[in-house]
Amino acid sequence: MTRRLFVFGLLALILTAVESAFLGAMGLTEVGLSLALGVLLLVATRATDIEGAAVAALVGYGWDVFSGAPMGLSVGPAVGVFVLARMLSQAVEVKGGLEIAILGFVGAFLHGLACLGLLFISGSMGELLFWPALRGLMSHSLAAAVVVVPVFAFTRWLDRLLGEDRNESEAWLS
Amino acid sequence: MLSILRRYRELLVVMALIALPILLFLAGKTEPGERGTVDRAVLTVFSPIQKGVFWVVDGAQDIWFNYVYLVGLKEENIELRRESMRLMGEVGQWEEVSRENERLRRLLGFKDRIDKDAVAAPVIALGTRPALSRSIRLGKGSRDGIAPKDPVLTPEGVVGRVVAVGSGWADVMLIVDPNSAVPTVTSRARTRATVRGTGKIGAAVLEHASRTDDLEEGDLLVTSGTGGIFPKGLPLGHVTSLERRPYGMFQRATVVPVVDLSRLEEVIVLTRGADEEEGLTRGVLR
Repeated sequence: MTRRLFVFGLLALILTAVESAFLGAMGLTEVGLSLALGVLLLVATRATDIEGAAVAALVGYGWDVFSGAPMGLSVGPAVGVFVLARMLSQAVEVKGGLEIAILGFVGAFLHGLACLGLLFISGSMGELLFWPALRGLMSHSLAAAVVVVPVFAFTRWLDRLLGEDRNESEAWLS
Repeated sequence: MLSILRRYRELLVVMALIALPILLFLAGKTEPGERGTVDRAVLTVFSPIQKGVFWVVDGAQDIWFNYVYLVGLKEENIELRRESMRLMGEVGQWEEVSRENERLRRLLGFKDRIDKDAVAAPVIALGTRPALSRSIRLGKGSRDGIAPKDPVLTPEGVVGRVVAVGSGWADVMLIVDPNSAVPTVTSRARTRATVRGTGKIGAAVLEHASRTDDLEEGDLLVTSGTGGIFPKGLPLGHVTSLERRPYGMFQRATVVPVVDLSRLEEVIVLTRGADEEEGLTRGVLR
């Protein structure tokens, strides 16, 4: 659709692939980093609605395809997190590292919670397993809050490089 | 109508992107870990990146633990430190080679004991959502003979089963994944039960063991050979925290896997043979 959508979608997939290999090489079995969350938050603050939602859907797709989770699980919640982050960023100024980290924590937690809820509703996860998974989600969200800041900064830098494409995409949408 | 659609186009697209995947997921009948053509293509495209990152990070760790880390430990005597560092570096490298050699020899020995075709494969990546699923990615795939549903083992016991395959990679659902269920028997009393994953890397739970079944803490659970995935007699885990309540039909217990699933480096994949194509249970241990 636009160059930015392609670049950020590709970036999200690359980050998730890299994360998967990094965790494997380090033997980090208990944490996920959700590197691509930084991309999702950036498009929530910068991109147009359709463009951002499409990138968010790609982020969710990447999480599914590289995690071994059932396909389709993460896409809807990822777009949901995009919508929440977008509404929040329009209400308050999201600029500094701390705000991004908090947004990252909340985003990762809500996304994971929505996925757990979907697994629970679909019967893929029994009641016994819900609470341990919820505890795991806390550590996952904390890790995501730490790594989301540099990823967000990198994506913002990339967004500036692609700045000239903004007019093109906005023209397409209007 | 068209003007309304045009007016709320952005909202409709965003809502569709939220609702459609959720509806498809809830209505979907796909097996956990199952991947379509597009998904497999994406994974195949990104597989070299994953192998590259794994190689770089793993190599950096080797350099750190065999060289850089040792430098920091020896500050008292420069000459001694240099000499010691050189020797320790060599020893460290030899130890690593020795450990790798030992692991590979055990894998080879294990392969010889299996009456089936087997492929040794490196673990190149982990699932990125440990709170939701437990999987690993192997650096070998269909061109090495690996196919979906192939059992994955180490010399210690069962690791999981292959759920998706590309030409140079394979995704493995670990036995501790919440969607994993393996039919087992105890090696002592031959009591049948199912081991289901909990999502925790070091624990699964025992299901369908009735209250009257002969179960004891410490019992070794081995694969029963039913279910058509795993050969009979492979060690899977030990029974712990056995709970026999005064009510209910079943006993509850935690199962600790015999394989340390958090430290997998190489695994064995039992590939399909002629008997598998006929729908029979795979080969047994000699």
